[in-house]
Amino acid sequence: MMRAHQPGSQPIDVPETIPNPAIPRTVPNPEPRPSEPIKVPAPQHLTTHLSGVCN
Amino acid sequence: MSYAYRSQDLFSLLQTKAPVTTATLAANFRRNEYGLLSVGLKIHCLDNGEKFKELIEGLGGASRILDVNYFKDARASLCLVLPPVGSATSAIHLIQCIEQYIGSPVLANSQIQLQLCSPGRLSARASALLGIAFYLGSDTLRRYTQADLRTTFESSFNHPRGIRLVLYDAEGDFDRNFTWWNYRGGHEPEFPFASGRTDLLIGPGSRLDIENINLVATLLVHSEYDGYWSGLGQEFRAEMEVILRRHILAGLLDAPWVRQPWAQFGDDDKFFAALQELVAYAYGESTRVKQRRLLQFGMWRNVHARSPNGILEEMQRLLFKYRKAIERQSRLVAQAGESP
Repeated sequence: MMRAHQPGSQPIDVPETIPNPAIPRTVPNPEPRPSEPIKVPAPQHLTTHLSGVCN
Repeated sequence: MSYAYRSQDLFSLLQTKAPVTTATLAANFRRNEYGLLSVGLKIHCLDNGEKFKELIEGLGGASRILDVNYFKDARASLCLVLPPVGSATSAIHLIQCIEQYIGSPVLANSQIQLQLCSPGRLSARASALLGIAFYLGSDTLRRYTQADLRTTFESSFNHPRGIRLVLYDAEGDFDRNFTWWNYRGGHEPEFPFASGRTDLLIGPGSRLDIENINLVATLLVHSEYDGYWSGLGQEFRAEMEVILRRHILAGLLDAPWVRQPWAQFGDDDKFFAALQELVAYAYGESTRVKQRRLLQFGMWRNVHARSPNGILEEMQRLLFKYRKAIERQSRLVAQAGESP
């Protein structure tokens, strides 16, 4: 950061580098998140087997 | 550009930590793209250079690799000279390989000053256009102090380079064995000049900087050495001068952007005054763009500049126009070469 200053005026901070406004900023893609687990219905033979055990 | 090691040794070393990128680079590193110039790189390291230690040791050690070159940024602990490559793409790949090897960024790193080397010595006026086009076309607007531009050759007895953004070579080794497109579109195996470079000390650089400098240097060098892109190069120069005149900046071209043998006392300051004027104009333009956005939208929006008259936007359009023209035209050259 540089300070530009004239007597009688407020010093202003001038950054050493700034982005060129004529170049569109590339916004990084959001980090991929793992997809939600999908409920898969249990196979028929398993459910009948389990229900048999419970009864 | 003196580098006391073979490209193959560098690639073998880089391959241990960046196998995929190095394999791509090694297969194509001398390949020409669109008839553009080759690219040379120097890495000036402003910190203690610890990150480069392993790489330098692997290439033969500091005494063999670094101490052969007296030239470096006056503040740098080391200056690593890389072998020239055939295109901007290969130059970017080479930097990416080094980044992977040292585990630290080279691009956009405030501790690393990049020097981009283009074959062929440009005239004083073309050097000014190269420096201005680089500055206005970069994705970062920078403020400079003279300390940023001091090198160990500032007051060299044999090759004084002054305090400049644009630097000529010091008549060292020169690799001219890269493809040159002559004025008829024929592919010559070497450059039409036996030596000479025009370099830019760009500071922390980006991919875009490398691509832009390669494009503009090609247009300017071809316009001065009668290459295939000579016509486009002349048009580019004319258009850029129109832009500078429109913004009342044409006087910048008369400043000594590169130190010539007939340099006069005070030329360093004359150049730096011109650079500061350019920087102030670009920073002012950036502020105007932000104010226009506020007026247009009532609040800050992160959209790019749309000013019909802004010099930054005009420079982007100019670079885009000539990049596309070269890509289009080079495809025609390639097709003509393939047809019986």
